[in-house]
Amino acid sequence: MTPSDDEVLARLRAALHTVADRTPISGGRLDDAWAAPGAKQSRPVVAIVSAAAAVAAIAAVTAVVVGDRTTASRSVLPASEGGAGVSGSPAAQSATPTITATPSPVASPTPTLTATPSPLLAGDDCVPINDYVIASPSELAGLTYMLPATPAGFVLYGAWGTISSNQCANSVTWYVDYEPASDTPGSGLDAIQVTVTKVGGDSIAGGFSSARPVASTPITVNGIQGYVFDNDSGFALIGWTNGGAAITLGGPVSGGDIKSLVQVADSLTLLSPNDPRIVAPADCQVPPGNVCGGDTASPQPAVSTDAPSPSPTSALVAASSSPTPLATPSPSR
Amino acid sequence: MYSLTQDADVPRLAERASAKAGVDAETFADVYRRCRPGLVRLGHLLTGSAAAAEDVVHDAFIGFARTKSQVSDPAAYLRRSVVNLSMNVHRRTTRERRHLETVTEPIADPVEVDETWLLVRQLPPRQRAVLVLRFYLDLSEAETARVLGCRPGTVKSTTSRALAKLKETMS
Repeated sequence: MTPSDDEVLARLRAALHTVADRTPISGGRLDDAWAAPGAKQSRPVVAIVSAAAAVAAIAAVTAVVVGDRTTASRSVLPASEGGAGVSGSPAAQSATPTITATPSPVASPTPTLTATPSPLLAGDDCVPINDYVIASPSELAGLTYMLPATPAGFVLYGAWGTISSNQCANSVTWYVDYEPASDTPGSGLDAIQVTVTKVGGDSIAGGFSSARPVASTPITVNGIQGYVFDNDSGFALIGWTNGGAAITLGGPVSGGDIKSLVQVADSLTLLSPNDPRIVAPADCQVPPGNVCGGDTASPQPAVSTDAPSPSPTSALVAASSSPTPLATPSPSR
Repeated sequence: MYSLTQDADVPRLAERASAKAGVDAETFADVYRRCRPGLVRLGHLLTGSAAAAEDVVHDAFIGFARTKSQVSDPAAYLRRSVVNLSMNVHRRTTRERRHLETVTEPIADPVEVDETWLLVRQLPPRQRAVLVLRFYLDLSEAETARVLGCRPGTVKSTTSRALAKLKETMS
């Protein structure tokens, strides 16, 4: 017998309040919480288990590799209203529609997006992900290129985090979840999550500027050095940088073997900011009913019926005969 | 969401308070004591795990400590942080599923509560978050939208979808 709407609500409220009331509340770790942000001294071991922290650590590594904080030689990116706010180099202005794997070690001059003046600039106090603020349309202009193509064997599950800016200068993160095509649609089980953060200079490292993922395991993703930030045998999180963005991929692994995850990561491509098909809604991977690249992009989970392959970007990749990763910004230093 | 093995000489609270600003430390401690219990409960509802909730709330406070000078409404900031961090935690679906399968919680509640809670835990994170914010915290659609960073219309549709799923599975 189907319960009435009122009954469903009543049972829901009762369950939520009962469970909440029974939550064991410990004394907490006030000292740790207070000490952590101010602890500027060296941190010998950093075990990072979240995408947010991973992005911060990637950015920190990138910042160190790139060099000091001098901005004089950095490429200043156009951010005209309604136009692409991110691109960078003449190469990025080409018509090649994809950012392909760029076989470059992380020690090479890393393409770095310049931190443009932003009211959100918070310097060393900036916290990369912890607080979400809806990005303004001008902040989002040109950012749809960060959407990765749907990996083969997966279907879009949802855009969980929506496009968000945060308190870091010039930093926007896009979260996209995919679930295996073989799973029950909409279950979300075994889903993988890709985050792509536009790195707004080394300020994104924030309090992590002295952090080094020394506890992580270096790996190679897409020909680029990356790191394993978390691996508890059932779930792993890997991260790397490409095209001025810090990228993480988290998902289930079997027995701690991250090969499958790396394989998915290797297959990921980002979309060129200048490809007209990216700007056009047709290439939008946001679930139906939402707006691609706008501040109305809904974080609501939705099941997409898009075929796992070939994805639009796969087609673009196939169509692109240029072996040059033209969308990779030129070294900024 | 990260753990730090810090230097042994990391100052404790009182020392840090004098090193930075005593008033700041007191304020932070006050906020911590005032807000933390409610946030842990919220995190429990959102993550389905009291232990995960503790971690999430801890991370939220770390973030707050870093940015508190810019935060005008600590409670709202922390609540939003907990919601967002909880949903990141929830992404680890395999781990969660394993947890769901293996953890046997005390059955002291009425059966209906247990059954409903199990169903709520099986909802996608965003749907669960909407239900918790709307029917546990009693936030309005607009307030919920602000916390989740989406439009009120999205909250409405998500709520509707989540309740429909609950109703369907309850029958």
